[in-house]
Formats: sequence, C-alpha cells, structure tokens
Amino acid sequence: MTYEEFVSSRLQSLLRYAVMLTGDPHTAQDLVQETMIRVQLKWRRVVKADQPERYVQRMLTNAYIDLRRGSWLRRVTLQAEPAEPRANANSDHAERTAARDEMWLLLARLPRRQRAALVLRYYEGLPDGEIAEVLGCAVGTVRAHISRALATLRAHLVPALAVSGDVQQ
Amino acid sequence: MIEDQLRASFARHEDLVPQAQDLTGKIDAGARRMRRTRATVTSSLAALAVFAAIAVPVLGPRLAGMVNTAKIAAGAKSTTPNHASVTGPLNFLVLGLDRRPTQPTSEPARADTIMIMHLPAGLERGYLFSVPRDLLVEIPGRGKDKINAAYAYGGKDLAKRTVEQLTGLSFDGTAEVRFEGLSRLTDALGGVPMCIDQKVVSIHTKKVFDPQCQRFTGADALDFLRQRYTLPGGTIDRDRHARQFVSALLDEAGNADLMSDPAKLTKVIRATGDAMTLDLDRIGLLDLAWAVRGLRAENLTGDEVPTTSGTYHGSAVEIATPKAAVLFEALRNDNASGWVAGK
Repeated sequence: MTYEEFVSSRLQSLLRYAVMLTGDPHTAQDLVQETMIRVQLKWRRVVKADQPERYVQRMLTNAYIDLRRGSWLRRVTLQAEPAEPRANANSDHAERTAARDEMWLLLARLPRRQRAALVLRYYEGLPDGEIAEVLGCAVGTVRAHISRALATLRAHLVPALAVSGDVQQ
Repeated sequence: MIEDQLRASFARHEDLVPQAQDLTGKIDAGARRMRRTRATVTSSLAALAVFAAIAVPVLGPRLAGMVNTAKIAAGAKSTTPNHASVTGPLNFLVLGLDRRPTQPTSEPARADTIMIMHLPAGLERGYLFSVPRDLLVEIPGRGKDKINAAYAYGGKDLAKRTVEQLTGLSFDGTAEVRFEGLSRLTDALGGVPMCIDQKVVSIHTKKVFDPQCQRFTGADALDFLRQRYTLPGGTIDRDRHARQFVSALLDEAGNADLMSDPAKLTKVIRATGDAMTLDLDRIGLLDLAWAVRGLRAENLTGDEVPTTSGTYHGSAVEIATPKAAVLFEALRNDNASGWVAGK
C-alpha cells in the first residue's frame, strides 16, 4: 500500500473517528492533520505494521489522549462550545434534539480514555480486544472504562429524559 | 438502550465531519515544511547529537562518518568534509522536565531545572549555568512571575523567549530533558558514578545518600535529583547536583566502551532519544555534532546565575543580583572564562 492509497481509502473515516472523539470538526481536523503529517513522514514504519490502519488509529488516539493542558488543542476545546447539529424549526423535533444533544454534551465531559473506548465500541464497532490494542491497555481496563462511562451517562441522562418526557405528555 | 442512544448520537453528528479532500493539501504542506526546515528534530539521532554536543568522544568518529556518508550520497565532488559553518559561540537552553509519580499525565510536566549551556567559540569547552526555578523574571505577555511558570504557560517557546529577554542571549536551540528518561538512560549505561558533596535524605523514599562516591542506578539518580526541601541551600543545592550529574553522565557515556558493545550502544541511543527532545533553530544536527567533536566532559564548567532570596506578593522568590547582569554580558561577549575566573 502506498501513502496515497492509504489517504484515499482511510482519511475520511479517520476524520469521522476524530470528530466522534473530539466532538468538534475543527479540533478533529487539526488532530487528523497533525497525525497524518507524522504518518507521511514515517510512512515506511507505518506500512510495516501488521495493520497500518489500526496503527494510525492508535497514533491518533494517543495524540487525543495525551493532549497537554495548555496545548493548542486544549485551548481550542476550552474555547469552543461543543458543536451542535443543525437547528430544527419543528418544536417537537427540537425538544427531542435537545435531549439528544444532552448526550453529545455529556460525552464532552467524560475523561478522554473513556470517551475513546465508547467511540471505538459503539461507533467504530471494534471488539474489546482490538479496543485494548488501540488504547494500549488490558481488555479488562477497556470494559471498566466503558462501564464507568455508561454509568456516568445514565446518571446524567435519565433526569434529562424524564423532564423532556413530562413536557411531551 | 443507552447504547442505542449513543450510537444514534454518533450517527447524527456525522454531518459535522469535514471533507477529506480539504485536508490532504494541508497535510502535504505540513509534511514538506517539517522535512525542509527540520525545525523540531525529535529523534534518537537528535538526542545523540546533544550528547555528542556535550561530550561523547567515542561517538564522535561515528557521527563524523555519518556526515561524510551523507555528503557523498548527496553527490558532492569533494571528499573533504566542509563543516566550518558552525564555529560558536553557541548557546542552548536546557529544560529539565519532571513529572511526579503522583501527577496525572493530563497535567503538563514542570520545568524544574533550567540551565543555559554556553559553548565559547572554538567549541572545545562548555559552561552550564543554572537558573533558579524561582527566579523572578518578566515573562513576555504575562508580567512578573517565577521563571518556571513560563514553561507552564507557554511551553519551551515561552521559556526560551523569557530567558532570552532576561539574558539578551539568542539561543541556537532548546533541549527538553525528561527526568524519567534520564533514569532509563542511566540504567542503559549500567549506572553512573558520581561523588556527592553533602548528605541528602530523600523525602520521597527515605533513602540516605552519604557524601561519598558511588554508582547511581537510574531510580537512585532520579530520587537524588528530586531532593531540595531538606537541603540547606534548597534549590541552589539541587541545581548544583543536577549540573554534577549531567557532567558525570556525559563522562560515563564517554568512558563506557560503547563502540565495542553494539547492544549497549543501541540501548543508550534509544534511551537518549526517550530522554531528550532537541530543537535546533539555525544549525543542522550533523553540523552541530561535527562542530563539537572536540568537547570533553572534563572541560565542562558549572556555575549558577547569581541571585539572592526575596519575596514577591508573599511568595519566596530568587532575585537576580547586579552580578547576574555582568554574567549575561560576559556570555553575550563570549567571555564566560573571564567571568568564572574573575568571580
């Protein structure tokens, strides 16, 4: 596989993955850009990996997790509110959108490893074993991240849904 | 149930995803920029050069050989290497970054040890001047603060600008040295012998370091270099220990018979890469390595920027004395030896 082939087959899905991780298209774009520059410079090493796709996904995930406070990305994320999907005029629909946005906002507040684990399982659809490889941790740790993250989401989401349910009735 | 909501939320936000083709041009441009300027050299080779930069005579010939090979590969007609471009004086900012074992990795490491490495013209001697971490300085855009706050605010770039503003020097590069990496490097060398000049009791491990010569393991060295609270001179004592350790480490690397032990050499090079990141602003890496090939650890002199203790808004700080200005002027005029002799 050449670097150009990799870009044409994988760049779009890396961008999707980065958006789900960071919650914000601009940050995602910066993250992918910085990662891909390194991929291009180190292509010979990348292509030697068993699964270059997984290798790059791991690089990107590490870059996301290791962001230092005060780094460019952190500054960006602190300033920018999590991006919303397009607003909808339909009020009933808007209420449901609000409840759904609640999920997106909650995701933004999760620790990064937990969020990455969620994205890898529920968006990328990877089995826990491969998630562990991407995150560089044990399978048990992956499951712990996910169950903790889900517990947090449940705890915050249930009241929000109950409120919007009342409104609907 | 919640899993489905999660999947739905991800799916709904797919319309935020930017188009890949908008990005490929930027990636290519970024990669070209990195290749061309090599502004940030983060590799074991870079670290190896810093190493050579201070004193690894045994590695000198090898690096020199690499320089020549590169020239020939580039199709140069002449067989005489032409490395006269780097003559010195050179100034580097050395930042020792420490992340406490208890510190979460999401927090930035702190620049606890700050040194100015000055190589006078001729590049056969070296000077290490410690800058106390509590030195009160003007940080560009941040007002007056302790100097180690500069790294926390703006990383090595702001730290560099701060020290440049303080001293009037213009640095040729910045080296970030990670303490954990230093520990692994020490172990890769099989320990580093060092004579210590005062009894030190670790507040972290309760280990007692008696004033004698001993061989330090990586863990011991790290423990020893972290101590300042129990020392009579506090940070000043610790900074002196750090300079002594750098000297001892370089000396050991020079003495270790690395050339006849490729396995060890590989380990050392890799550990050096882990321990250091070198940013060179205007000199090429190999030119630097070649230029400093005559440097030896025994020609390294350590000293500190003259300061006195004071307070600023209620917190203890170090304040530069008028002598500090004299030192900075001597460094600007490439007269470090005169300053050290005239002290």
